[in-house]
Amino acid sequence: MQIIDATLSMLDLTPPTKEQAGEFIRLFMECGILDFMVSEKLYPVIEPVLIPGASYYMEIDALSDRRKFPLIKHFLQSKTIEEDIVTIIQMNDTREILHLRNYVSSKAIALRGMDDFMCFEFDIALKEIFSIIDKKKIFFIPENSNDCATAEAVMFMQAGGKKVVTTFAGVGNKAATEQVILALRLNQHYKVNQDLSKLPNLKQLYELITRDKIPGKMPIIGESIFWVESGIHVDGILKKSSNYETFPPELVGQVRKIVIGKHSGLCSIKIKLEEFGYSEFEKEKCLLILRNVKLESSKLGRNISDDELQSIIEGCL
Amino acid sequence: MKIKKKIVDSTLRDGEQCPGVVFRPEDKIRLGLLLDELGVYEIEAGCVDIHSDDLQYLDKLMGQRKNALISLWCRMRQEDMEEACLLQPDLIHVGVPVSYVQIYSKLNKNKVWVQREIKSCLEIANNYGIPVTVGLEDATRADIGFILTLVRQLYSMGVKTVRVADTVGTLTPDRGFDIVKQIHSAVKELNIEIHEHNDLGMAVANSIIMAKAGGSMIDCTLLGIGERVGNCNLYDFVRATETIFDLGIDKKKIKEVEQELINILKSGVD
Repeated sequence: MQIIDATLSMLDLTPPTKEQAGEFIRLFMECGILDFMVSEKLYPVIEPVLIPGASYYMEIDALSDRRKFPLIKHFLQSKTIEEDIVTIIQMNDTREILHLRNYVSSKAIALRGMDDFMCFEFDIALKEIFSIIDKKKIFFIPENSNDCATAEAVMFMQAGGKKVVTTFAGVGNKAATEQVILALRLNQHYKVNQDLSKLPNLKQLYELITRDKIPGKMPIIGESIFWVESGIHVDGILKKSSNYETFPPELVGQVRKIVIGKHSGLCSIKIKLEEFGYSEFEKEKCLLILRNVKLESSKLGRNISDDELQSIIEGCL
Repeated sequence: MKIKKKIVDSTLRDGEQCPGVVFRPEDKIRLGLLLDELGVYEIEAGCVDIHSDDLQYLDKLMGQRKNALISLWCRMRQEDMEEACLLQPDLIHVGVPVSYVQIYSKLNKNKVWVQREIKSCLEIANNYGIPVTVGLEDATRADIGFILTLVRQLYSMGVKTVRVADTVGTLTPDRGFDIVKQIHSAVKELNIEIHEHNDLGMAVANSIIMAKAGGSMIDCTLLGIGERVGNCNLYDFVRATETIFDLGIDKKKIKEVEQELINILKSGVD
């Protein structure tokens, strides 16, 4: 299974510096990604940092320009059938699958689009596609207008596909590389020993390059996805993190944070008391603190800070 | 022809479980009424929480809504169930842990305990005459054999709807399809409700596939807010399925209600 990251083909409007691009590739290689798609425009800047050991791909306008890009292993071009070229086919409707017959002689095919195929028996569509084109020859580039690109990428691989093209955080309306990595790791044993703890560094670098803040609730990389408040979940996670977490925060370089508020339970109060250095507390006191926390949080319409919690505790002593 | 499916909105329950999100009673009433007007089938309005007196909004919401059913989420505990019944919502949703990791490692109980406990809870609701939907918590990591035994038992006890909850958001579409298909073929008459989390970025896709497999109700939240990464985003789901499902919801109006939610969330930050 090969995940090809195409982030560096999507950043022409906010181009990274040579150093940033090199760092981006290096960090992704630490996460196990060894294939990168880059843009024509970015190539001259980043050529010196295209690290050996990875393979590079490019969508190209004029085939005659190929010699300008000596480090590129595979070139892609729309509809072109020629030796050494990966033929890009934009597919927006399941009825277009039959047209693939015109491309059986291509060296390889890049299927792009298919945003809404999840609504139309995607598994059957994949079988039809594989019956026309050898699945090993297909690069799959699902697009995300229907918020299904990651799932389509994963289903393609589960059905026996070998190569998907994705981007960090899904930039450029694609499947998100980090989501596909995790989904395949948890469900298909993809590179299960790979260290992914550098994902937050990648995120920082990405934010620096694009000046675009990743939302706090972005799967895998969002800063607040491992915050937990509700009593039932805190209790479960502390007994065993797999009770309520698909994967532990450390796996993706994050940390868990217990937040206090209206949905807190007794166990969160006990943890905080310990954290603040209080010794044993009887249950009745804890319940009183909990009740006051819930009242205060409801009244404020937000969570309770550590300072506020301190004064609630002092008020209950 | 488009297939009719029903939306259950959980913004006021799972959405509020998102750390940082707290709704005051007046917020819940305002959002609840907007969701009612939007055309969602059911509004999950909150949790039964015996340590909090925070359920006064319920009467007002139920008095003023036009069509939506109002439900409360409840743990599988007899005391919580009693409490829920006293509040008299249209529906009580009770969460039943079904995976071994939840039953054995979280609760330190066993399968027989689960089966006995849910029976007692259903009896309580039955005495009050309040319908119950049952959530199969962590269904996506559970033994399908146990799930099928349980849903047959639930149906024989009068339960009409079970919710398949991907509690930790670990599901891929093909497995989601299988789980729904198997429950559907075990008890055809049961309504199946889908509850997805977006941990791997697949909540919308999973919900689509599971609805196509026979799920008739889909849980969504405004802006996709919910525990951890969040739930299936209402707008994204409606937009993605507008060519195949009739959900009775105008997607442009969702944006207006989202704006109201954004205003509420902002006002809570001091």
